[in-house]
Amino acid sequence: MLLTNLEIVPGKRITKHLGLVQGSSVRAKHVGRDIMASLKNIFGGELKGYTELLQESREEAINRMQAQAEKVGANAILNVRFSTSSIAQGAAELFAYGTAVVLE
Amino acid sequence: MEYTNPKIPEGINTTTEHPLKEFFILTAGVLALIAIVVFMLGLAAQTIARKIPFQMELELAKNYQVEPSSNPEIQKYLQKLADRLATAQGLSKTLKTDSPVTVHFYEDNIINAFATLGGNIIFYRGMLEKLPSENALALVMSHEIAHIKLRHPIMALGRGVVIGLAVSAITGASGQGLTDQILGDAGLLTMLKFGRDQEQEADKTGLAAVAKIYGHINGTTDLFEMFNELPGGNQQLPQFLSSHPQNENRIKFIRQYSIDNNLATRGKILPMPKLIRKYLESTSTPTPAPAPKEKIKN
Amino acid sequence: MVDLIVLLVLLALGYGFGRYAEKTHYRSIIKREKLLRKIPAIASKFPPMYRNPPETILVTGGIVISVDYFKRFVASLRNIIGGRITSYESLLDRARREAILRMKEQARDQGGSMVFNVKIETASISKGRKNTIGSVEVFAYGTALLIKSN
Repeated sequence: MLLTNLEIVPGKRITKHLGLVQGSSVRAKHVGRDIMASLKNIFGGELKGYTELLQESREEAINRMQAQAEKVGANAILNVRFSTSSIAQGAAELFAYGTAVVLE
Repeated sequence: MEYTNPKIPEGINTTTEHPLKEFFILTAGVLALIAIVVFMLGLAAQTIARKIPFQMELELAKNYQVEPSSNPEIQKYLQKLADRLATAQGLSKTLKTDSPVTVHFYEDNIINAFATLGGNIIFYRGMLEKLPSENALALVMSHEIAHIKLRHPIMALGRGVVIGLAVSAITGASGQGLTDQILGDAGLLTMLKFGRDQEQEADKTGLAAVAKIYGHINGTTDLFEMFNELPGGNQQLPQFLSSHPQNENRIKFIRQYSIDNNLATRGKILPMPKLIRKYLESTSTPTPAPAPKEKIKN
Repeated sequence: MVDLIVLLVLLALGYGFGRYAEKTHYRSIIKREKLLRKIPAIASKFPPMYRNPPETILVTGGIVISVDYFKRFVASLRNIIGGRITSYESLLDRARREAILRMKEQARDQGGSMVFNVKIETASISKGRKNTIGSVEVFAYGTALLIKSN
């Protein structure tokens, strides 16, 4: 599966557009990490635990998006976009979406 | 076509100014702002509150019913003294009562006396016990009557309501718990200034009335000297943290005021009336000294 | 009084650690930016035409960064008066540049020679606790071109 956030793929022709595919993952923060994070809120700096957590969740969102694309018979997703939103205190949604296409 | 990422100079999206500079300017600015706003609001509120007719204040005070005094004899004596002082201050009778002020006496060992809404004065046994002479008692009473004459209780109420609102508005402003609390405290400290000014006014008016009745003001400052001798009395908070001026400053102020107004400082100091001395002896506890002292600390 | 002491201690800690962290972070950012300048990040949507079309892969870089107590205090005072919150500006600047660097590092590790259609996204992840910015996530992504030397 080819993922790109370009609208074209250099040197390849799109034969079929299969519409929007999306993947999302809602994650709550871990209590232990929360305690570390609240300490970090005094000193400042990178919250490594959260960086990893969000990275994992985003990968999950991408995987789900890919699963959708596979189900509709696509072999590439173009114009991939990400968005993050905190839907409640301590929980965040990671969302990925793009256009599923068939490349020649 | 060529694609490159040339170096972009620093300091375009950020500032190179030292963060502490902004910190100090902001802290000073916000504290000054709060002090000014609270002061102006307090001034406006008490000016308006002062215009409320006394009759309306009596209506308000109905909600704060005070218990009947526990010793009618002492109460009667204090009321008589209060009436004399009130007349000397030029207070006239109200429609509700025979006297412009109503004294309530409680047999508690709290060392305090205060004036409250509706011309009520609360006097505690603890205070009576500490007073060395009738002259000192007269000044305390006269001071509280002056509060009523100058409409201080209703002014404090108006101020309290408005400043309370302002402080709670400030506390939501920054959106951070501890900061809000500190800012709120800064607002309340500003409010104390009004209290200190009123105490001084009441000292002035009260003192003039005492001089009028007794012909001199000798023995009146004994009261504050007595306060200083109480445990912890001479280690007071700094004045800006306190609701009353410091005792030494009050003594100094009274001396200065008596010189400026040609009040006689020499004269006979009257002892406490027999009635009160007898009452105090009959009700004193076996270990009178340490017990009330502990009470003040708490 | 106790409040005041707690506040001052927190401020001093935040200032000391925060300022040290910021300085070292900027030093590292500037050093790595210099190293990765050979992989340009371009915000344009359309890559150039090549005779041998390059392979493309999606590359990402993310960071969650937290603001220190001192900066938050200054910002909370700013909230009352209004104006430029300089203490947060440097924080977001650091986070964005770090996210782009991580994206570029991923592109380098995969053998990419430039990154196209770079998008940067910022999200506050501890919203809900009054109106403060607690921690901020910055996420950068783009398409890396794996150009074969022809």
